[in-house]
Amino acid sequence: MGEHELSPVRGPESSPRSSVSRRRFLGRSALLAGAVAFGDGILDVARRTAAADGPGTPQPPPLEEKRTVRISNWPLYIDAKTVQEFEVATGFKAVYTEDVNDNNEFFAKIDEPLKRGQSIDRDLIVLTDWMAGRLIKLGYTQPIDAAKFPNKANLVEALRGVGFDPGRVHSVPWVSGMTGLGYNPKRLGRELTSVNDIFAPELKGKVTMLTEMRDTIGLVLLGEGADPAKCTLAEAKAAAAKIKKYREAGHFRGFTGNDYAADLAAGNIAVAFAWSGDVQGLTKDNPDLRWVAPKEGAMLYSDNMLIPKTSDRGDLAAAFMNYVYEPAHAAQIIAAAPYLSPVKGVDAELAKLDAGLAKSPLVNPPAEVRARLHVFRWLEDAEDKELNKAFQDAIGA
Amino acid sequence: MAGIAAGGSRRSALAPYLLLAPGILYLLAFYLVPALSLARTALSPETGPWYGGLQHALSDYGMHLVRSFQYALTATVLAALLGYPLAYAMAFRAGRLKNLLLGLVMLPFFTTFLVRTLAWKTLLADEGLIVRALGALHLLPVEGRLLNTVWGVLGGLTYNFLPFMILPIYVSLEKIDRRHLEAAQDLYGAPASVFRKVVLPLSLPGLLAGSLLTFIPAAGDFVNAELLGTPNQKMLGSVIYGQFLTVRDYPLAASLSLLLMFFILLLVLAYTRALGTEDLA
Amino acid sequence: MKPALRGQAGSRWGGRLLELYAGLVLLYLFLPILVIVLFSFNRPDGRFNFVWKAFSLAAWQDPLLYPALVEAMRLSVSVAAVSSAAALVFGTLIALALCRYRFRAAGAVNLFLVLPLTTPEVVLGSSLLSLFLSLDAVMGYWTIVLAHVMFSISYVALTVRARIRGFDWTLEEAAMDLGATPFQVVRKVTLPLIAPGIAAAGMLSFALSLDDFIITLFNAGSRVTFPLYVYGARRAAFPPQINVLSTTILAVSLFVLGVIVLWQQRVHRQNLRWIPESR
Repeated sequence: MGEHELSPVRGPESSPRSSVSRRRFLGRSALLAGAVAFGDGILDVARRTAAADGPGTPQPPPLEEKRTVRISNWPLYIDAKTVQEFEVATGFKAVYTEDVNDNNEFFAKIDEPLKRGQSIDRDLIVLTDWMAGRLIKLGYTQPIDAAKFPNKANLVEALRGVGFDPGRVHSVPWVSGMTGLGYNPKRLGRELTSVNDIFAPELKGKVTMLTEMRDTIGLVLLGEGADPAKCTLAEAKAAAAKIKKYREAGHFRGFTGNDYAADLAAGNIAVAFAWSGDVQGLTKDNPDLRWVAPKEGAMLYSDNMLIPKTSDRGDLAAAFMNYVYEPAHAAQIIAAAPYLSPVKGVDAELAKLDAGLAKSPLVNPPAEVRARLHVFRWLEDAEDKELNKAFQDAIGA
Repeated sequence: MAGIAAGGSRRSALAPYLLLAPGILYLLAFYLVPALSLARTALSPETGPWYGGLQHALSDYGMHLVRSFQYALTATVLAALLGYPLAYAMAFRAGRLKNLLLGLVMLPFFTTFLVRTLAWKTLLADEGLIVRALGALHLLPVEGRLLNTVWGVLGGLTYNFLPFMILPIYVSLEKIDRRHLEAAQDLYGAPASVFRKVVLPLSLPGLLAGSLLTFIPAAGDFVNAELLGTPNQKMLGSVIYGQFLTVRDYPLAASLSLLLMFFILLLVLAYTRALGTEDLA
Repeated sequence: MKPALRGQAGSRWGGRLLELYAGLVLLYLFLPILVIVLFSFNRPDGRFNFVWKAFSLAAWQDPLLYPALVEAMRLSVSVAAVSSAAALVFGTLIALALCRYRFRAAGAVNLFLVLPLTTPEVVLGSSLLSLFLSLDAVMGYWTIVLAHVMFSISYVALTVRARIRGFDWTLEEAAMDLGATPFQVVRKVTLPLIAPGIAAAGMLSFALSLDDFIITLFNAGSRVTFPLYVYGARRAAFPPQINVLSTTILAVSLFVLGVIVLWQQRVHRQNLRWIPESR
């Protein structure tokens, strides 16, 4: 019996040709679907530049995958070329992901797997001092191979001895940054000088603060005339209570990680607690934006590169650290993300790239600004928990 | 229907169960077991009585639960007010355009939910066209803006789940026998009474199904509130997300999830008792 | 359309008003989509494609410029393909069981199928997470796929059931009477009959998987799907390539949808033709 006799989809008068062409069409679309799904089609072009450990390859990875270093960093923290140039210079691949938006949020993602000794698919992560300290204390990091990282000698003296990592065995700073006010003077019709301007009644609904507790509480404390480096828990909780009062009255548009950036550029926000280098990067989106260290003071922090203990590519991570600790490379990064570089000799290199920026107070704060920079004091676990609870309640999280 | 009776003697009584087995077992493993796992997490806190998590959840976040249901209800009513006339026009006045319109209503399904919601951010921006136009007409709410207000959140919720309202209403209107309508017209005359006495009752199952399909995702949503609201509009979904993935207070997070599921399940059961499962499909 | 029906929508003015209102609702539905498509032709000066600057084809000429975005899209397409294939098998078998047999558990199965559809995504996502956590599972590609198959099965089963209800299954009997083996029957009779329904369900589950954000957020581990990429991108940099890819998904979906609808109409017509008494 021929196959067409049995086919009920074919009406008495439909020709065999149409059913054949339909079948061929189906076959082709199935092929296409498969090709698209597994990257053998048009997307193949992209695969050369994308991660080698892509989806659809659940089998044990080929040797090549071993040579990829996977990096998680904060947004707006690097230029467009460094990663590619690192690949060319070293022969390694690098997957650079801007997926750190909040220390707590990122910690929550990696805590469970690291606790169990599972891979987090990252070889280098960048977290703020206090969180870096917590990770090191929990034993979640591995020491950096000094032999693979000769440029560590370029680390500035001031950042060599930190309490959470004496001798910088597990961590080196990516950059240091200042937290102050980001704003649009054109839209405001005036310049800002005081932290407390953010509470001005006419700015109701047009301001944001950061979900990063130490930055936000620290700045509010400065506005209250307290020193975040020495504050009592009660003072810090009073600052949280002030934030809560204003939040409940609808004063804040939100509490953000890096997501204040787009809203500040689009004009939905007039004033934000903002990170110094971000705002400079945003001036391409909106040339009117400005960052200022308030007269009461600004917060100073460092974000640190760490190697998760479960990474089997510590040598590649160290190679990346070594690469970005070359003054010329560091300068290229600073030129795009104008923060304070921890690398010695970066000023001379930056002057070659962008003479104006090299003199910018964002990159080289003058002494009178430096004098106003504060580091949030170390919080013991119990204090951290208590203050964090008050803070989360204050921001309505 | 001829097909259903075709089972007949040739096939063993086991056949339907064999066909069902893989899918149903899968759903048992990855729907029911997780739900039970959630319930266990919620109801066995490390310290205190079994209901401690629930108590904590209700006292700390009862407000968010109430707010989620309020917003979802408002969005459902708005979606019905917007969706019913459109479905009606499609069913009775579109003529040959019917299929085209049906495709157009489904259009939002084929663009990513998040990208769509972010597009609303662009549309509602403080310096955008809509806000400027409304501002010129003095029609803005007291906040003087739309983005990051309760209006933004409600607009986003209504928008994102509107097709779920329109499609079931359309299907139920489409099913109405046109001869009924002609008869009703002879009987009642006035179009308003025809609508009230014939069309509306016959489309009620669709309206109810649409309401349920709009209400449920809206009540559990947090993307609209996160992107288009402020912390003061935070919905329960946000809290569940934050408690699970940032704070990692699992018993509390699971309790919140369980509460949300419990209230929605009540709604669904009430619905299916009244109308069966047919119109939800 | 019969004049009598037009009359029942009310007076001429009432009808116009209704059409105007319906048009405005449609506009509301399209507005964001217009923005998405329009902004794929934008040329933002900086990182964020949220404010209109200038018309440009740059993003269309270089849609794969950002490796991480391409990688996310590739992951999403791969997950959607694998999960909708699995869901199609499970769901279609369920639909066949429900349409072709009478059995005692049918009512319970129907209710059970509707449950996942009526459970909020945040509950589905968090309960799966709670299971995976208790199993010490490693989150990643396969946990995403498992989750997507779960929420797709019901959609597939209900869609296929809706499309094949009312088909004439006596054809299978006839084929058997003519000496076909059960395998032949399935291949030559059953599959061609239900194929358009399966295609529609496949497209639906593919689209659902591609679009899913909330459930994936809970179960993705360190993997980044397209929606997760978009969620992160609004903080870091939102290039117009996101809009280009979204517009492409839209265009491809519309095309596939059109093909399926035409095909379905044809199969339906032909199936009816086999049943002399059906008209």
